[in-house]
Amino acid sequence: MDLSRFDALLLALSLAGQLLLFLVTVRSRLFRPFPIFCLYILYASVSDIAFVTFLRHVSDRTYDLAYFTDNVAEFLFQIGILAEVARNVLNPVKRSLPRMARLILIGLLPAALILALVLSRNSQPSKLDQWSHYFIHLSFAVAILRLAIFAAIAGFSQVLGIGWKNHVLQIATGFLAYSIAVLLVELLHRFSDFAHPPLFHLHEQFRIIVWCMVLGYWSYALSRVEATRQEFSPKMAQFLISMSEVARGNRTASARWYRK
Amino acid sequence: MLPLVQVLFTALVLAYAGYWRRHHSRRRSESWDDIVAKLRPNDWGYEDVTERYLYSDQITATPEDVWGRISGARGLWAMYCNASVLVRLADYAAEHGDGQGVPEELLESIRTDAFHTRICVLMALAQHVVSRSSIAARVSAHRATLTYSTLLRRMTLVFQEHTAILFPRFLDAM
Repeated sequence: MDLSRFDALLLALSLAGQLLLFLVTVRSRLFRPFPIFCLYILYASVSDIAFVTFLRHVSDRTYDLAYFTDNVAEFLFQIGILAEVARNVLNPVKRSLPRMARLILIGLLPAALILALVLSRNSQPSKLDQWSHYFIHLSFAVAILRLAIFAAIAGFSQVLGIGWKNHVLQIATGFLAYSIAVLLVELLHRFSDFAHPPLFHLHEQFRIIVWCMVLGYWSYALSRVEATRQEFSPKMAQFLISMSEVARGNRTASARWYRK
Repeated sequence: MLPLVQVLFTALVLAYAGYWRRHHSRRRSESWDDIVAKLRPNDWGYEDVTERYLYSDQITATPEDVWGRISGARGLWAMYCNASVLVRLADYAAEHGDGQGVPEELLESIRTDAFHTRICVLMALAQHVVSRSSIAARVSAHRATLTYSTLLRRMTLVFQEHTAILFPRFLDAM
């Protein structure tokens, strides 16, 4: 498989971004709260290296098989990351969640799956073989499923007023941006009917550019310490303490008066 | 038809993603005044149904008369909106508290009360929409008011006992 100079540059940028992000996750000790996310970045780096080095020289059939397997593994990782985001969002409040709220959230997941399967049904070009049909259907269904699951998690947490921690929010934001780009690319592929290879290639380049931007955002955001709200100035704190003492005094006086 | 639905779905997701991200960026940088500004005023009759405003978790309303006394859906909606704002105020207090800070169990109880209030409000509103004379809607409304009153008492406890520095501001806001 031959790569143009621009493709090679994009691939190098993507690989460098993934390796940088992996270093950031190790340095920030994100393995504990986000094990699947960290494994996914490691897996993506290793698989890219494999495709650039020895998988370039294998037969077309082996390459296609490796490509299909790699994509299925990536889909599973991505769904796993969403599960991880949901776990991190709900973890601080899981003991407080009513049983019915949990049932509603669990019920939203099959609904998202049904939505993805229904929306991804579409006529496909007849010149492709059966495996390509499966692959195209699967890619589109997963692109929709990711966003549907994300919308379910975000909507659920919003209805119940659950706050998101900074790192969870940053990972979810990057993942959301990439998922939207993938869905747009899948739609463009469908509307162009997979019939124009240069156009198809251009769409894929767009997807990789967005991925590189997301990697840059994650590397920057996750390397920073979680920001805290601005504290009071010592003068303001002193003023509030004195106000509080006055309020306490008044309350004691009124309680005494009430007892009389 | 299906391609149109696909495009509509993508457009909807894009719009929601923008709204969701904006909502969270604003929320992270909120000051005390920003949070308090989101509180709904108590002009729907809550002070009449509570035994002692902010200091008691008992209410004087019964399932039969609670709907009218809290101004129906208006009062329920105010409780729904305030529940989330009160959790944010409690989180703010935990971050800025003086002394040893707010116990995690108390914060968790506040979150539980807020979730229960919201769930009960949603159930009461849904039951009310299905049947206007529904007894179930009144029972859910009564439960929501009771949980909301427990939430308010716990909030008072947080500010009075654990973050005295913010207590005057809390009273002022409420």
